[in-house]
Amino acid sequence: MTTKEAWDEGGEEPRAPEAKGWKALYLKEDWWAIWLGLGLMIVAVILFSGGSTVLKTLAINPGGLKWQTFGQLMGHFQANAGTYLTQFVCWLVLFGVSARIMGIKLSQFIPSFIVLYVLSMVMFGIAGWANAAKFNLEAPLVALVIGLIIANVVPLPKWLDAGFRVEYFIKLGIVLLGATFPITLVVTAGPVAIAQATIISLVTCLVIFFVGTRVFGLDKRLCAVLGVGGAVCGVSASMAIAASVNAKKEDLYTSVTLVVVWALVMIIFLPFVARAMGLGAGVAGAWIGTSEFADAAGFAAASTYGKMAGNEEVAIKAFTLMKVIGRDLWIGIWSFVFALIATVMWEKAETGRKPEAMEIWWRFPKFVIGFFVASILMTIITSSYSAADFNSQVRPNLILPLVSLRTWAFIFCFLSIGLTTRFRELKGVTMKTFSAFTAGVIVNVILGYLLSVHVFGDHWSALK
Amino acid sequence: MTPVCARCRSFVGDAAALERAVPGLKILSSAYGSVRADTGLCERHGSFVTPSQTCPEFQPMHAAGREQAGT
Repeated sequence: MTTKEAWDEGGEEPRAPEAKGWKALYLKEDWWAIWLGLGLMIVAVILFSGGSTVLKTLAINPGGLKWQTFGQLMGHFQANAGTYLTQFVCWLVLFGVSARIMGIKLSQFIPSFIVLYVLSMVMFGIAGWANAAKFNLEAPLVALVIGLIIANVVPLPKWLDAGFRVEYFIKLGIVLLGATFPITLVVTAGPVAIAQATIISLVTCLVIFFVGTRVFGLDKRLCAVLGVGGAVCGVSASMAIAASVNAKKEDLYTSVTLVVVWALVMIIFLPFVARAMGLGAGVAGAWIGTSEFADAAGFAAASTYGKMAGNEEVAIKAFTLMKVIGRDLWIGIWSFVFALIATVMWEKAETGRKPEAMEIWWRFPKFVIGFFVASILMTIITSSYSAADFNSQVRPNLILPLVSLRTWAFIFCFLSIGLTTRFRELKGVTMKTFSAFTAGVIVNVILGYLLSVHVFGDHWSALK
Repeated sequence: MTPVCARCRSFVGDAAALERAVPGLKILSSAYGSVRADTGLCERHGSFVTPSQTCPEFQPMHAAGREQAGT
């Protein structure tokens, strides 16, 4: 399908290209994740300071219910119907307004989000069953599998995808995660994460690139797109690189297929293998952060393992340090490096393109800034409380409601992954392309294991 | 007028159109994200470009309108 045909199908007029300047503050979902995440955090702090429990009430979810009979679950929903309705309206307004400003049609977004919210309540309901853990019914896995089944069996209209914004939800979740993540932990554990991420990013990218070009004779632009996709953060990194090297549309489409397939395999594979090996939550979180491709898929895997190991917070902290703080920072750097290589060594025609160091900032995943700001602000705000007051007042009335909101954002994300993954839409890839990418995956997983378990194992085990 | 890709009729920079043009793009990514910056798709060459790039096959946007009006 050409893009013009795609326009016709979507019934929208093409718009002018978006500027990299101030317009990005309201046209890019990274910035919206920051505005919403920090806004929710500030509202939470103000309500907490005034002694209000409104947010604590509104942040309700049935995930911790531990219900024994179906009647108990229904009783919970009946008793809290008004609260859930209010919460739904709040989410809808926040996401709906921001989506509209970014250019998404509300006539498509609203029905889509209603479906997503109702399904999320079902997921929480399943995860809140007293015996859920016995059957590995962890919320992220259940959300993913049910989403996949619906997307591939039920003939849902394509426009319903409008509200299944995987990246938007995970970015909001990460900013909210910053509000419960002490900045002191970033300072003490961050350098090791960055060191490990640097090793893995360089090795994985170079393995895919050189195996692809030298062993299988694949196009260097395709290999650059695949290499960075495997090394940094999947399709997002591939898209960032695509313009730097003038990659073909088909190259990015190939990356989508390989990243999605391997990311789904890893969501299932890594938590169960980590459990079979008896790895601690911190070590497994770091391994998943080193070896998963996309933030959304990685959070699903880390959260699943954290629930299996009974320490979700530590698994998510280790994953965040490794993936969000360590690997994601590499996107802009790789874009700049490949733009330099492409213009100096690969291109014969004059394209007027000059690699600029500002590329590193333009392509920087801005939601990470929101994570840091939330972490710094909350650390300062809560530093005046004694440990006893923190545990008796701050934690139940400020921190846990924010954790619950974050969990909602994550469930929206995990469900959206499944609901948007239609296997019939993925591109067929050649055996050579598959092999080149898979070589990188194998090296990445083995090296990630060695670094997380043996080289930096003591560091990740000590994480609290 | 500077003949850059951003002003060419083959340039697609709209996030929604890009997501429809590459099936599966939004599964684990998004055209609305910062990492894309202002990357767009050249319809003529089927490749990704930045708005400031130039090309010998540049065709101004308004030319498309004239062409369509004349047919």
